[in-house]
Amino acid sequence: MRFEGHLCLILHGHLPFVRHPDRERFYEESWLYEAMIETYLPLIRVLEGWWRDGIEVALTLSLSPTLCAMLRDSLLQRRFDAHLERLIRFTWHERRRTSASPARERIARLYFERWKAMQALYWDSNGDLLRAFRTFEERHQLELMTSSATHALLPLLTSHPSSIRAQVQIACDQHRAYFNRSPSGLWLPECGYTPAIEPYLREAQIRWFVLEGHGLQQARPRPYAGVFAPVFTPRGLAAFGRDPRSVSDVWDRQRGYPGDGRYRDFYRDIGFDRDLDDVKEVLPDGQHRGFTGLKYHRIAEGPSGKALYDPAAALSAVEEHAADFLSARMAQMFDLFGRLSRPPLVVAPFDAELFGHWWFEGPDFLDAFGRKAYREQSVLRLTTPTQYLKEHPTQAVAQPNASSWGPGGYWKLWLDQANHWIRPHLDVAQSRMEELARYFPDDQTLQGRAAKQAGRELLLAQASDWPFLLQTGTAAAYAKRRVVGHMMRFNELWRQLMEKGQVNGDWLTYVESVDNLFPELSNRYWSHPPSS
Amino acid sequence: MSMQQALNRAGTTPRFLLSRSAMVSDHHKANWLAPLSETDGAADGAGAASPGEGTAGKPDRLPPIPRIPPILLEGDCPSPLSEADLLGSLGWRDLEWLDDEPESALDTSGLPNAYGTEQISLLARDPHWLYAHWDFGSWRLQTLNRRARDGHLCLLTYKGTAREWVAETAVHPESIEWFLPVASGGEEYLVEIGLWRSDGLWESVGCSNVAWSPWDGEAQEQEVWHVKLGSDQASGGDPGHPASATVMISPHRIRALPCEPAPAAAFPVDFPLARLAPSSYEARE
Repeated sequence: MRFEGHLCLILHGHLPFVRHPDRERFYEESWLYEAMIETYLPLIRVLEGWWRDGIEVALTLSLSPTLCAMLRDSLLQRRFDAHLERLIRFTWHERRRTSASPARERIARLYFERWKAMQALYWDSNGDLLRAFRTFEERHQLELMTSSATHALLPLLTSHPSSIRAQVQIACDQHRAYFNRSPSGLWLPECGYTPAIEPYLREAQIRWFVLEGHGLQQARPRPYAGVFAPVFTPRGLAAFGRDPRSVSDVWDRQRGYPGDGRYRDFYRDIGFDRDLDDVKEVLPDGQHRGFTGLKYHRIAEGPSGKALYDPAAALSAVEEHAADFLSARMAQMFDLFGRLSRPPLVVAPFDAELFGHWWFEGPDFLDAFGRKAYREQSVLRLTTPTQYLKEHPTQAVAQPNASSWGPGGYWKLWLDQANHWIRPHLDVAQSRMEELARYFPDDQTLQGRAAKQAGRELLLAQASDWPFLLQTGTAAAYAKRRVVGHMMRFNELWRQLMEKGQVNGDWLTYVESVDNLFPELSNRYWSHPPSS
Repeated sequence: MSMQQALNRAGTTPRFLLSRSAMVSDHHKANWLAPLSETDGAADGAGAASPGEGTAGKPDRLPPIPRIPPILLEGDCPSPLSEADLLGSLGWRDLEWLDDEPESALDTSGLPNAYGTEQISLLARDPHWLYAHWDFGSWRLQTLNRRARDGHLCLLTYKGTAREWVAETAVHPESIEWFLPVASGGEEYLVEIGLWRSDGLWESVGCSNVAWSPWDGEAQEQEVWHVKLGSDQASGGDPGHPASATVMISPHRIRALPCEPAPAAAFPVDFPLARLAPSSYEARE
């Protein structure tokens, strides 16, 4: 049977830049360590397995510049190594502690062996996960894409186009530095799109991006293929639409696969269950309760609360769900082919951290799905957006609508009563940054360095993560502290440069050592009006 | 030492970073509003000198504020903290006090309430809500409120390239931002901030950037044009504009798939999609 359709699985990997060198252990740094152990390293293991076994399927992986910066940071690498070592040591003791209960001991052993394997993988890659991902791209197993520099929601920057330009250009510069090639695709943070951002994507030679479904369905004129084919915008970029049905199979809160009772429960963690003194060693900051990653229970309730996790039952669920997802996509392809008279395309983007971090068995699901898709059918083929455009260079022309994948479909999550106070400060800082870039050269003089650092502080304050955390009430105090801190540093740098006329070199060196991302940052992107 | 401790020691309000903004306000007073302070009538008179006054449909911009040479500011308003205190307070370690601050204390958390740039900025949050923010220092805001007939500023909302007036919104005297409802998406909007004077004339204080709100709903037009991008463009090289030598355009009037195709029910068996014959599609390719 010939291929009837294409499926693009896109994983968006992103974490905000969290790095606190002045603390030995910092609570929020554990976000990175958890994602490395549970998502990025397991994903590398899946891709290695596919390569070893000749499974020729391709995924698309977006790695945000802030995530890349953290994965390459030597301090965070050392801390991750120590964190993983603590976990392994703890689970070794845990096996002895649970030896009286074979069911628990089996789970403890599972974690011990899994984390040992992750440690071996980490050491094999010399701690450089980006190099590993680059290798997969060279083998055509992956297409790597970038995102905006600090995951800023670009439609909220339209009153200051130079900020859009800086976010996009700096992201592409970083991508080239890490992966030695320019990205064709740029993941729009939160799928946030408005036509005003396109000139800056084009200027950066971005070829395609992904929209929330309604952004494409409400395009002018209305695309006849809905979200099942990309459109070319009038500016020549390709816009792919997210297919809500395939995404909801996996991601839906009520009926998504991760909610199956056989899977491991995310929330029941020994970091909250056990005596504080027993688990201090593996807590995120060694003091306060938090997730450790060591969880003994599955989602399903037993006679007395959550039942113990059964790895074999979970793997069986993985096989069932991978088969179900494949058959659902095949049915979708047949259905669409009859309607479209052309090979349909289904684009299914997910947060990468869903697979492994939130859904423990997620990487196993990806592995099983990839293998089944390659071996057991020929109705659909996993491809990447760039490959699809090569094979299908003719598409409809339409202007997509502004949209995001947030609640309501626009930006109310990032601009509401909980976080609106950020905008006025950003507005002024963005104007002032244009001023700094005009007045101070892009060089290594003290003033040039201060202007660049002001750019870093502004970029960090623009991240969509802070208003998100403030709105959802998750780590809101930390998010507030980050915005306030970056804006204070920006304001002080601006004051030293524009009002005082003298930069405090010692303090600048300190700030550069703390917010040290994008060492090659150029502030010229803020300095002159962007092309339109 | 935490920032809060430092501030307590210095016996001042936590708004120390506002000091420079206050200077801008003072300067602004000297160069822009000074004539207004002579008499109340002169204040109104100065407003009347503004070219856009009384013409709500023609928003005016304030004249740009000249940059102040730093030397003129030296000693005007000494910082209550030493530089060491100030810089030390900008490290993470010293921002921990924020953890214990209630949400309502955000405006005293080390950032100024306003910077005094006199700019008004506008964003479209969705098809039916705009967000406007104006950056006036408190002194300037109080002055404007005093000049207003009703004691507060107003926002006038315009839409379209013709700048059609659509709404007037009274804002709280102390507010520096407002969410504005609008009826229709897919429009350009612009907001003018100003006040109604006691003599009944409109005095414009500033004008925002133009913000475009998303379309609200599906398009009616279904005329589809197809474009073929060159192989260099399709392979991720320099993306060219469709209007290049490699472009093929074929208009076809066909039916589009319905919106929200997520549930299976959205694909009825008798869905009236006008088929494109495979041959015609291949021919265009």
